[in-house]
Amino acid sequence: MRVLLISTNKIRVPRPALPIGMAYISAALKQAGHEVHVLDLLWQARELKAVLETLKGNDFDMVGVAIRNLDNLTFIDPIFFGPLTLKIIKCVRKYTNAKVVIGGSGFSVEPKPFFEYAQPDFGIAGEGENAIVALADYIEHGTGKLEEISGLCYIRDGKFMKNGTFGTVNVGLIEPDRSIYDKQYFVETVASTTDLTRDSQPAIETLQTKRGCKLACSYCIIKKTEGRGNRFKDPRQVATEIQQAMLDNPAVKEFEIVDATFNVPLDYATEVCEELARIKLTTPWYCQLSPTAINKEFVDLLGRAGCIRVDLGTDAFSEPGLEHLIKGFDQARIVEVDHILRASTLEHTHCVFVGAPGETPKVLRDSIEFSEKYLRPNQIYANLGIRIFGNTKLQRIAVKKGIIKPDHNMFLPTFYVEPETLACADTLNYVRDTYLKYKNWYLWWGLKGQTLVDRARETVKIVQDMHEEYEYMMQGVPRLEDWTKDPAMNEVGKWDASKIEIIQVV
Amino acid sequence: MSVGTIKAAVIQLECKLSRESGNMRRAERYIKKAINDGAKLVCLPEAFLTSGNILEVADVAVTIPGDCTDRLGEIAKEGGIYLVAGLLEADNGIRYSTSVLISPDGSIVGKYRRVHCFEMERQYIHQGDDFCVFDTDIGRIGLLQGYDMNFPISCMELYLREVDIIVCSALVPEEFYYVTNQLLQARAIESQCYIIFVSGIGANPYAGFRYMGGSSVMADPMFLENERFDFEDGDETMMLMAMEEEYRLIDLDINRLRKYRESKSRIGDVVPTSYLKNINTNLQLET
Repeated sequence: MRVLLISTNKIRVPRPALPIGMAYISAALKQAGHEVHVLDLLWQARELKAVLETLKGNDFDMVGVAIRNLDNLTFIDPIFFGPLTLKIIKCVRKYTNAKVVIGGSGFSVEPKPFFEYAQPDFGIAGEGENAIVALADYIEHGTGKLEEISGLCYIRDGKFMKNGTFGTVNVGLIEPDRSIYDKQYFVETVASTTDLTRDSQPAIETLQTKRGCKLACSYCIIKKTEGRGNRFKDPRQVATEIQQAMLDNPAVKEFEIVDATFNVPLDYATEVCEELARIKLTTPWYCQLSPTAINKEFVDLLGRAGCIRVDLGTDAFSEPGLEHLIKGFDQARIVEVDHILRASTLEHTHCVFVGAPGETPKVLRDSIEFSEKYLRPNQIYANLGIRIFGNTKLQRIAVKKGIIKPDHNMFLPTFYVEPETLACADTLNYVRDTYLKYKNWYLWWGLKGQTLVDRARETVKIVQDMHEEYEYMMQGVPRLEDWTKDPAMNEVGKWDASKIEIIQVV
Repeated sequence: MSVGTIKAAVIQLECKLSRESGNMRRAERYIKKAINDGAKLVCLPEAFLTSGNILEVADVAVTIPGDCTDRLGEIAKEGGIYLVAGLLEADNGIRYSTSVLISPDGSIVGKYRRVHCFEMERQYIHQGDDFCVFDTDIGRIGLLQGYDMNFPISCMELYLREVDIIVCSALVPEEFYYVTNQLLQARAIESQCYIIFVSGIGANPYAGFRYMGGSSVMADPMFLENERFDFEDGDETMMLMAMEEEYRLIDLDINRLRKYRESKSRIGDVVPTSYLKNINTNLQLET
């Protein structure tokens, strides 16, 4: 089967992220004997033109559209990527007979509304390596059963069906197909405006050591994209994969472990670091850590293993914020971790949300004063507000607070900013002034030129426009009911190609 | 005011010298056909009645209002359409090349007397002194004529008044076909609006050339690319006619255009106070 994979990610900040998800899918398809072509829209100034040209020059049987993010998750500067996906799918439909499959974490977080909106033939929610291969077999040979494909979304008996996500991908058996990466990823560039600790950004590689996360942060969607439990790569495999990636691409000078939280569980992270230290890896690397599981011994080990910087998922500097975000640690712990890292060779950045639940004007001010008084990180990287996704505790908090209605469409950019704080010009001005005061504190690139009060007003309007635009695009589009297990309602068990109903895009 | 999608008709008429009644008859036929096809805006070329009969303008120019606009008003009223027509206008012994906008109630909404006239023309017709934009229930309509396209400031004037559709009635000599199309594309991008370029065809035996035809409808490619999933380079020319007499209809979505212009507007970046200051001074110095 000839397959085209399209990476739709357009986020370049803090640095262009390697499409590792698509690379895993490519590897799985190639391993199953399929011919894989890729188109990475990050490097295309005119995305649809690039799609059109690729489609016209080839004849594909299946087109996979990889969605890394639904939007850029940034209240202060929101960008919604849904319309681009929709156009790509319409374009594929017009110019080919290929089956369209969408997947990736951006799809997995809100599969049903995304499916309804973009109208692909299939969607794959969660891990896609096994699912895409099974689906390709089904499409090509009619073998297998659709209902047995993990996370598969499709139209069944005229209704929306989403299979359960089985979490059966064996992370020990998979490696991303790094040959698909565009060479432009591996050019040393000027450091991003969000990176206040260095002037240049060397070429990096990325890898995952595990899938899933056992933390329970109230806003997090990783259970939808990777599953809740952990599945690990053997630490020796991790080390070998890094060594091989460095060997294959001499342009790479650093690498990043892109696990959402590398140090949870700590014993596994320790094993990985010990292995990296054992092989005397000379390539510097970085990772994201949760303050829950950091001690001096581990930080020393990180240093010995070659780690040079860590981003801390601190998330809030206030006690109410930490509590509502279900971080599992308190201010005292943040101070302790900050001290440990300050005394080490590692650079560290506290990543936080400003305006988290419970961060009323007084609480927020106190939390900023707390960070000024007790913390000395290399950088503070802050975001005003938090993207709310469906089926999260944050969504329930937002409903309770009256920020959104229970039936609010979480597919569209929607943010939590503590209402009292968002309405308080003095507090927003204080936040702006403070973040401008410190050269290593980052909130938004445009902060110098505009007040947060004005910017917030504008972004509320921008988000409102996105919702209006969605309603415009959905005019005449059928809303999908969920498939039910009631046998009287649906015919179950007979699966062949004719059972696949494809919504025609007008 | 919310407008939505309107159907606009472009009538590329062969404008024959000294054949006013025949020109009017054929124009009427096309207008009525457009009405039957659901048009809400119907556009005729510059000097559609008389062709570019500049040498005899004193004899052929008509008054506005007058018999011709009365008849056009009747048809517009019957069909419930807006109608744009180019006419050589006579007003107390002074002649202009004018575009007139007639409303669905048959009345004249307004007229535009071409501001830019080339040197030879100015021996026969006067220049207008104002650019016009008219608010209607099908959008904000601005009027220009073919030669105006050579002067970016013409469209800029209308752009600053947030024009939705520029109807440019034209009679442009054939040799300018290529550059006119280039200019139209640039003007559409600058003005973030639809441009209906409605050209006459036929020969001008006095001057020894043919008119270019090539009537077209243009829009800002950034807008179209935003709207469409299959936009290709060149699609900004939404319609392009050859050099035959014909009429065509096209859908124009005014609301979507306005939404685009609102989000991508450059109007706030325009600095009129800095424009043409030194040029004016130089011209005065030269004279």
